[in-house]
Amino acid sequence: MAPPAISPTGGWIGTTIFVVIFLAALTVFGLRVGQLVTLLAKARREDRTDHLEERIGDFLLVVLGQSGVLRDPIPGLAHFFTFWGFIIIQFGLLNLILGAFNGSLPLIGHDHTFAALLDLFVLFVLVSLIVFAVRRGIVRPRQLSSRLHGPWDGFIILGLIFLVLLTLALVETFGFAASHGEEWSLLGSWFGPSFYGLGTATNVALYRVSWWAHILTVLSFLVYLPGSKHLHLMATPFNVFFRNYGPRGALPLLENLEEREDYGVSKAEQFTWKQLLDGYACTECGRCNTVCPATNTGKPLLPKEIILGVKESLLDRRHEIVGEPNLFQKLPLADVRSNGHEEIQPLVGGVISKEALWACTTCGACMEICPVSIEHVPKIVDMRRSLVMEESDFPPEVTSLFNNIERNGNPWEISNDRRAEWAAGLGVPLMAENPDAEVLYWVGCMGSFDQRNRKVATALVKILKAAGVNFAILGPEESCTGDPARRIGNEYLWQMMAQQNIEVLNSYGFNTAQTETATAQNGHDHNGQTSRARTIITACPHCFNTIKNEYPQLGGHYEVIHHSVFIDRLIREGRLQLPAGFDHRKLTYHDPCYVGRYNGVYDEPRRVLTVINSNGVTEMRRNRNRSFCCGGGGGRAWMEERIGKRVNQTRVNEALETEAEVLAAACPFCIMMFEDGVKGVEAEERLQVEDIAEIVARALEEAATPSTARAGQ
Amino acid sequence: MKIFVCVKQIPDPNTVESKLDPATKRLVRTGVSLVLDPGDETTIAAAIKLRDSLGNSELTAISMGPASAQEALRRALAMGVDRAILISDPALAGSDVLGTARTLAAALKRENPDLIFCSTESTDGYTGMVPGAIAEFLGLPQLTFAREINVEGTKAVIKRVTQTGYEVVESPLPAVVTIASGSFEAIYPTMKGIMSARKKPFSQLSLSDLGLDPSQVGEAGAREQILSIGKAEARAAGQIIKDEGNAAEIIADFLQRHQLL
Ligand SMILES: Cc1cc2nc3c(=O)[nH]c(=O)nc-3n(C[C@H](O)[C@H](O)[C@H](O)COP(=O)(O)OP(=O)(O)OC[C@H]3O[C@@H](n4cnc5c(N)ncnc54)[C@H](O)[C@@H]3O)c2cc1C
Ligand code: SF4
Ligand code: SF4
Repeated sequence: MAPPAISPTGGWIGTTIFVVIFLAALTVFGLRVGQLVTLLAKARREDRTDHLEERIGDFLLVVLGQSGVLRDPIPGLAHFFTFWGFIIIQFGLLNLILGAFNGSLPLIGHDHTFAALLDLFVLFVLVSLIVFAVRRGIVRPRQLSSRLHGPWDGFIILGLIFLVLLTLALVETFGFAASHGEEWSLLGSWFGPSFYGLGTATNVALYRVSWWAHILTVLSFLVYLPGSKHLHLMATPFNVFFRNYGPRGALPLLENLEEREDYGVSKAEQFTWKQLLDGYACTECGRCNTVCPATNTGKPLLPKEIILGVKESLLDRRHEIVGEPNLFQKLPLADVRSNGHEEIQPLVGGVISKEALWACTTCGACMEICPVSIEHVPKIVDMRRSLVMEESDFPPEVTSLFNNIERNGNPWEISNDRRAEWAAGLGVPLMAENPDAEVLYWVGCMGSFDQRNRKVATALVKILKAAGVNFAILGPEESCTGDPARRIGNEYLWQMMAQQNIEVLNSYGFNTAQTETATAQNGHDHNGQTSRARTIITACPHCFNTIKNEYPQLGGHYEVIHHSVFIDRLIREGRLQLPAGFDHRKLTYHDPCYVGRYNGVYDEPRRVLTVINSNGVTEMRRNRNRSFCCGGGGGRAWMEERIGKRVNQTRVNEALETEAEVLAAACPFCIMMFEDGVKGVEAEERLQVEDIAEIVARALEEAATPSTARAGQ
Repeated sequence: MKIFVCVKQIPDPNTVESKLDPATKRLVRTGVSLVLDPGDETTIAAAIKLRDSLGNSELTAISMGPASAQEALRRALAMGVDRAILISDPALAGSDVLGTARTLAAALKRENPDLIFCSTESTDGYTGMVPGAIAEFLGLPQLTFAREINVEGTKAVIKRVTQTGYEVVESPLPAVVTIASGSFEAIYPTMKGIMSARKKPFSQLSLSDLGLDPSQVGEAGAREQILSIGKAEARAAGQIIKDEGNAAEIIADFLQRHQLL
């Protein structure tokens, strides 16, 4: 705690003034943060303390290692240095503040290495600032614009950071000059000597002026922070720490449907605290807008505006939520926003338009790219829930979908009794006929009824038979999983369908939780055989995701595998003999959102396709976790696309860019959307849409047919 | 105002293939999935809209049918109807239009309605005769094919669909109104609707409650008799006219022959 060479305040009067200002600023800052925290405390509860060890590890990686932002290298690196610069400058600041009390930081207070490091970071941050300013002022990527904080917030922040650096440089320069190098710093040693000529007294005065300027800038920053987008500085670390560690494909369960007061979110405070923290943590970088299929095709949905809209609405209603009259109302300085007298718009249909909510395909691209783990889709669905279940306000074409799922167990006006008709003559047993089947093939509505996707189902049957799999289907006992209903916001219908299906699946002993307890009790299942894990496979990623990740919320635990993974397994176990490289067509593969991003399956389908195809897979511009949605998810397949370009055609054009002849997919909705898209861009001659199962089944036929016979065809 | 809407439960027209019982010569209504007539759903929407615009009004759904028709009425309640009445009695089985209308009219009479909504025709029987018969039994004026309805003072004013547009027709209240199909969008029930439907008033009436004698309704009171049922003739293949210069003439001739020109 060695005293500084020169006292920055010049004595106890200065120090007292400093203490008063410092405490006042700290109080205002504390109150403003307090207001934000109070709002979170008033929100719904949600437990985010599971997976503690992983939380801590990821926290270190994402916050300290900045691994999130670094995925976008140039602004990412600039951010990395600003972040670390910020931390180190805090120590410098503390050192300067201690100076007012004739002290300094222990160990590093007078350490030249630390001083040099500090200044190196000052320089790094300066360079970063230039990068940011050029981006914001000259390049001006569209995603950076902010409706919530206006066009100036970004510049004010950059200006304040610049002032912090500038005043720090001045403090160091004049400190060096006034102390003749005793107060050593890198920048001081560069610029200080040039000011020796001013004389010590002047230099001491200038040092003090700089010190005050620096302190006051930092304190203004502190007070400004909670009301600006730089709130993320404080909120992001918490947001990353409390991010979702449950299955990514699971929407939160709406509990107690029978006794609830509300069904979804129509007011900001109905979100959980974590959903609201997202708004504080949003850095407004706009990465989510750049990848959103809706934004990219001219729909009125910008995922960033969803997050900021929720935040705006929350702040607009802050006094109502906290309870009027409140401290923050009486003390305007403590209030994070100065407005509050104009009329407050409703959250849904006001701050956030209904069209925006209906445009979402729930593709998850926004959540995947967000550097600070913000969860867009649950919010969108929560607001859809309110529209559907509280207001009965949704695109009119959805009414028949809901009615059909509820009455017929499928999305169409078809009796579910006809669910197994597609399999007539294929020799596919029903579960009722073959209750001990090892594998249940969950066909789904599309595979059962949609003409195009029945071909996929037929192909998959061929594969299962060729591999000698002991399988069965449920036929009329199978109903729509409810996935489209849930994602459109009809949680009630999803729970109804899920319960019905869970009962059926449990009755055939597929529930792993049940077999485990049964095994634990007597080691045998109801047939007296030793229990073994029985598997459900499906070609529909939406069925796959909801059964695997969401049915557990209602007690249905199953081993579910997507058909692309199952086929890969059959090949690797040697149960399927495929002619390697028989397919010579140039092929590209589209990652379905609910197989890829939501369930992390990227390699298996590619492995299967690479075995069969001599050219391997030619990747599209956006692939794997950056894949661009077909436009059919989130119930969008059942709604009209009235605004903007067509999502499916956009993706088909991307496939055409690769000059591939085959667009391989692994999802009935993708197939439907792409068949449609290929027709839309009139590329039927150039591009075939095929499911992985169809490609594999053709290869099997090839293997079975002697080439001489084929030559004659 | 006391508003009523007559609704009927029918075999799901979208998924159930209509079957006739050769013995009774009637539609098979058991063992199939039953729904609230989709036409009546839109009529309910019209009635709800009017109730809400009038304020201070109560909307009651009324149905004659077996116990299962409860489900249809629950749906109506979930959609926003305030109260439901089900008339159910073994003696009602086999009712024809006359019996159906007599029963409904008897129940309605006890309630002193101001306005009674019906669909123009049901989706299963579609005789379209029940509403008129109800009006007759109650001695009320009937407004038909309404695509819009308003109450002005003590009058009901409707826009009545015609082949070329609509005419404005009015009548004093009380009155029976039939809603033209496709004029209103059915309401998908909200959760509040579904949950509150369980708690809304629901009364069940039998013949004796209505003071009707079993001989007036059901099989016994039927004045219609189904003599025979047969398959509709398969539609003959259409005629395709290739234009060899005289197509217009042939078509004009054809239309004239059918008195369409
Ligand atoms: C001899 C005979 C026996 C029959 N037996 C039976 C039987 O046992 N069970 C049976 O269900 N049908 C039976 N029917 C059919 C029955 O007559 C008609 O269903 C009934 O009269 C309604 O006629 P509709 O469907 O043509 O109604 P429409 O006149 O086309 O209906 C128009 C509107 O009137 C109202 N409405 C009609 N019926 C009812 C109702 N029941 N409750 C409330 N509102 C209504 C609705 O608003 C409906 O949209 C029988 C018919 C005959 C000829
Ligand atoms: S939600 Fe995430 S990706 Fe989108 S602007 Fe905010 S921080 Fe960036
Ligand atoms: S889930 Fe997909 S469509 Fe929805 S907002 Fe995010 S990126 Fe856009």
